[in-house]
Amino acid sequence: MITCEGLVKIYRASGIEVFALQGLDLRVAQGEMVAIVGNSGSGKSTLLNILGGLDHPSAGSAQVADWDLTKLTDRQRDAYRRRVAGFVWQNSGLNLIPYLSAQENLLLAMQIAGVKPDQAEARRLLDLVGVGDRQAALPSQMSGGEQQRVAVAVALAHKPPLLLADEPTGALDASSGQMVLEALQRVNGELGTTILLVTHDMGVAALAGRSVRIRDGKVSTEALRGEGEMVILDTAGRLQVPRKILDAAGIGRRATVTLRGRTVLLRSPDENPSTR
Amino acid sequence: MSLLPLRILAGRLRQAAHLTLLRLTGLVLAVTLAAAIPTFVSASMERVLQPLLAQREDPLAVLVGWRAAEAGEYTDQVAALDRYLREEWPRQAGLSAEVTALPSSRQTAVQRVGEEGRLLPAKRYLRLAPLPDQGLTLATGRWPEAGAAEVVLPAAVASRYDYPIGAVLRVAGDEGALSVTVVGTVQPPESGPLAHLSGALDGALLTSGAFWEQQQVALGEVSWVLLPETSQVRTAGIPSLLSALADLPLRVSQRLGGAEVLVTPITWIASFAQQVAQTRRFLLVLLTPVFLLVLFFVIATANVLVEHRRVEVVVLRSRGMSPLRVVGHFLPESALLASVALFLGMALVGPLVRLMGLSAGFLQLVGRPALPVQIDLVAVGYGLTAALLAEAASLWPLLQAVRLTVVTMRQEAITRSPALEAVQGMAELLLLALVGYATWRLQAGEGGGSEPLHLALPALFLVGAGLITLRLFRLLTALLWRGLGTWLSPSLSLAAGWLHNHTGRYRSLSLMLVITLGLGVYGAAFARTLERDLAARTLYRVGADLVLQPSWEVEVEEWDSTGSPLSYSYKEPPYSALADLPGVAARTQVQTRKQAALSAGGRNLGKADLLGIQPQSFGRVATFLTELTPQPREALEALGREERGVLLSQALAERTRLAPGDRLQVTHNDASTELVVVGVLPHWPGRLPEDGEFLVANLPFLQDELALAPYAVWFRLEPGADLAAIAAALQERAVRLSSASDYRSVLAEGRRNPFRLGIYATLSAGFAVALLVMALTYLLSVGLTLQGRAKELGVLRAMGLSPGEIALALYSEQFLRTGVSALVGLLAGAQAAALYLPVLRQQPGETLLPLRLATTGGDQITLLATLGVTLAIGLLVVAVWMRRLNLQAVLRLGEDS
Repeated sequence: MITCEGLVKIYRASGIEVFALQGLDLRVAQGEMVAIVGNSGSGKSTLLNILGGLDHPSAGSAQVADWDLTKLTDRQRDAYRRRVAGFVWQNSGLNLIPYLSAQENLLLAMQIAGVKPDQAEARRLLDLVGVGDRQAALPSQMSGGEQQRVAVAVALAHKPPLLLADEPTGALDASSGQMVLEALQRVNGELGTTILLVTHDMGVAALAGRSVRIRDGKVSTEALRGEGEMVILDTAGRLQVPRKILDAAGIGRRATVTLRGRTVLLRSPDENPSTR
Repeated sequence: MSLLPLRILAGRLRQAAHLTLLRLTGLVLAVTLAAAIPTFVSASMERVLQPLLAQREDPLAVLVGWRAAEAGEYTDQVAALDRYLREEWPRQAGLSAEVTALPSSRQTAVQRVGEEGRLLPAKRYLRLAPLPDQGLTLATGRWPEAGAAEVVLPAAVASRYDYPIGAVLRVAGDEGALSVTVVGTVQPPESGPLAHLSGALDGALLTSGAFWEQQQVALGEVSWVLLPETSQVRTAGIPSLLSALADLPLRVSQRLGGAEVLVTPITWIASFAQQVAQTRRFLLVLLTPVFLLVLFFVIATANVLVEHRRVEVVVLRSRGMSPLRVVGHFLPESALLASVALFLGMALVGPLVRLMGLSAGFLQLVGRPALPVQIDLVAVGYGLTAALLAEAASLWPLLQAVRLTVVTMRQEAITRSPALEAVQGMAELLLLALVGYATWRLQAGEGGGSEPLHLALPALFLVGAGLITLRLFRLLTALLWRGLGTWLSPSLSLAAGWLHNHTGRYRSLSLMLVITLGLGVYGAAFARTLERDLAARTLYRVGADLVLQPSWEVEVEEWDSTGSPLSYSYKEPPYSALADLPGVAARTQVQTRKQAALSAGGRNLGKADLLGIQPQSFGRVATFLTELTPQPREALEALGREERGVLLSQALAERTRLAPGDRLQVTHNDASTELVVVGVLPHWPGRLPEDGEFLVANLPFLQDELALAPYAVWFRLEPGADLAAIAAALQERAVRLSSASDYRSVLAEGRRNPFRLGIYATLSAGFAVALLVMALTYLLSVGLTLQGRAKELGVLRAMGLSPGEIALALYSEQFLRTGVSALVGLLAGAQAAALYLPVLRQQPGETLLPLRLATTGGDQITLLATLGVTLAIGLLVVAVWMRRLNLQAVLRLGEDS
């Protein structure tokens, strides 16, 4: 479903170049629910914006379904957003039109995507995320959790194969956040929608089938549910070792690599001078 | 389902109700203002047109004449033309017309039958014609009996050809001769349709209609007179009337070959129409800055509205809506607002125009009959254009916003493009350069003819001044904030910080304040200057309080061979008859000899009007304005000392290079004499710049040296003198006057000039609208600031700043910003007036007199008072808002943004 290889994104802000993504590799299969975790500024939101067709990569390749995101014109980008991607943002102001009810928000989303507005379908989606009883309410009349669940429904209104959620629970308390996540899981399970979830909350990430950690614009480690966290090697065989571990091992800018059977040993060159 | 667009529209209108209301107000103002001008011009011209039509001695009359080139049958063609003139043409001209036709036979030989049936030798060429149904009065004899071979003819013709009553005439004809008897004479009327046909009547033998029918006389000549019902003429209908008149010759000759059209007074209608068009254009241009201000306001509101809806735009865009569709998404709202604005705006046109009709000066109203307001299609067109223009303009911010997506919106929040800053700076520089160049050209006397530029330039100048101010203001606040920040009290430091950091948001408000106040000062100075110019112009047109021209008897001394007078002499009426009139303080004699030929040393110097005065009494009677005629006393004394002395107009002196001490020869009516230049003056009472060059000499000397010629008598009146008493005295003394004019009534007449009143009304209305717009903008921006700063203020309060200190900071900020803008506006307006008013051309060929600019202290106080009230309301809003400010709510509110 998603294939990114060597994805690079450079921003120029006030004359300074910022490398948001530095050769990121990522593969996501159809129907997967993947959490992207990382510290602020690690580039996770940038990745999401590129995959959502809101931003274009500086270099590398990014393929979603049949769409090559590196080669889209503005017009095609609009079409891509209408057909492929659905968004849920942390700020509910960016998800819902404030003066339209939950149901109307869904209908408008269908209209934009060129799908025939269908009240029954809208109701079904609202039921799926557990807010079917709030369909006539305005966003201001709903709680934060309800707003986010409506936002999930709205993002699904045009039946996108890919749902992108940027910190959907970031502004919510634990129990409300839990309900939103459950809704996302239901969507993933029942509709088979591929979901990419950006979060910095490990608890949230644990609910996804797979969680991917981004550090300095690259995927560093990956964890499958039930298994431990694993380091990711890129296509050139490079890997990122967390600074904490390197410090503990006394490794500075250089290290020795030794193959022992099926184990690779990484050592500080000072530890065994004879190997020089 | 289909209700969704309606729900969106309603939701959106409700969501930003106050902003939508402001935007609607702007739109309504634009519509009303644009539609009011043509309506006002038409209505006030109507008020002038009707008495003008009623007063005119020569009503509009269209004469159509046809004479058969050769004998033949023309009945059908004549009938076709007759039908056209009676039915089609009035419809085309848009008014009904009284049509009278006078058909007659071809001219044919007529001989009187003498005694015993012998024909007298004298042959006259006359025409047979049926007697018109009405309009003629019998002078002698009786009317012809129906069907009898009897005629009447104009009394003058009867006596000229010696055809008395009872005379038998033999009329030659193609089908045999005819004998008719004269039974009476008629008097052609002095008015009515037949008065216009006196030429056709002159050679006509008028028979009864029945006799005319019986004889089946072949048509040879027909004259028509069309008297359009001029009371039906409306200014709006003048173009169609003019085009109907212009088409007439072609249409007439198409229907009846050889027919010709003669239209009496058409020129004044055409010139009136031209004046209407000119006035309309002038007033529209005059109003352009205000209109732009309104447009600016609409855009500013739309900008805020779009700002308000950026998130919505971003949501729509991130769902994959193309920019064009987003615009389309907002279009129903625009269309709805534009239609409502058109409806409301047009409804307001009537009251506004009626109010404008009451204006007698800048921001001055008088009670007078209301204008006959008629809103025509032209006005609706103007209104519609304004609405569309304003709506299109307000789409601009939206078009900018639709390029945003979530990503770019966030980026924009971080950086402000330096490229955009540079472009803005360049644009400002360019504007300033343009204004400077145009001003320089204008001052140099070039390009003064391009009226629109000239009238728009002051507004551009004000914009330029505003922009410079904004830049300076930024510098100043930076200095205040950075340099003195630590020295100031927390409140003042805070205010300085706001002033410096939020200039972007306030740019438009400050600019509008400068422009509005500047326009106000400029408009007031404009109106006051026109007023002073009118007074000075009237004074120099008339010359004195009262000017009488006694009738002079003329005796022809020599006749030329054709019987025209070759030379004549005047007989002077006694000057003493005009002595001791009631209420008269002084009098003098003033003569104007038109176009005297000048030469010096054998060199021909062209022609100029030669004035003759009595220097001593002239000084007592004439009113000099020292701005126009510096040191008049010295000039008069110089003239009094030198019998042959002459004063030259500056234009004449510059053209001929004559200087005091030079001698020149003047020739008038074949008599000539030599004069010595004793002075040069720019202007002279009784002469306006457009009257041309002139010389002033001693009247007694001129009367002796040149032929005796008539003079006028100028009077200085005592305060409160009664013109009616003077008129009665003159009547009692049997003084005959050929003309009379008095300053006060000429001035009053000038004040009633629709063009002038139009300017006052337009300036006043424009200024009132500008003030309103300014007040609205002010309130809008206060509201916005408070809303935008809610979080910041909440934080400040949480940090321990007291509400009083915060209020003080807000007040000082408002006060400083408004105060500086107001000051700049006032100064810039005065500067614009000083720069542009002196070179203003009011009408082609008529410049303003070089008067000092009228001071407008009173107007400035009015302006400042209005501004003060607006400011007070704004501060009140701040106070009320502060009182309601709930810290908790504000801090929570802040989380979202």
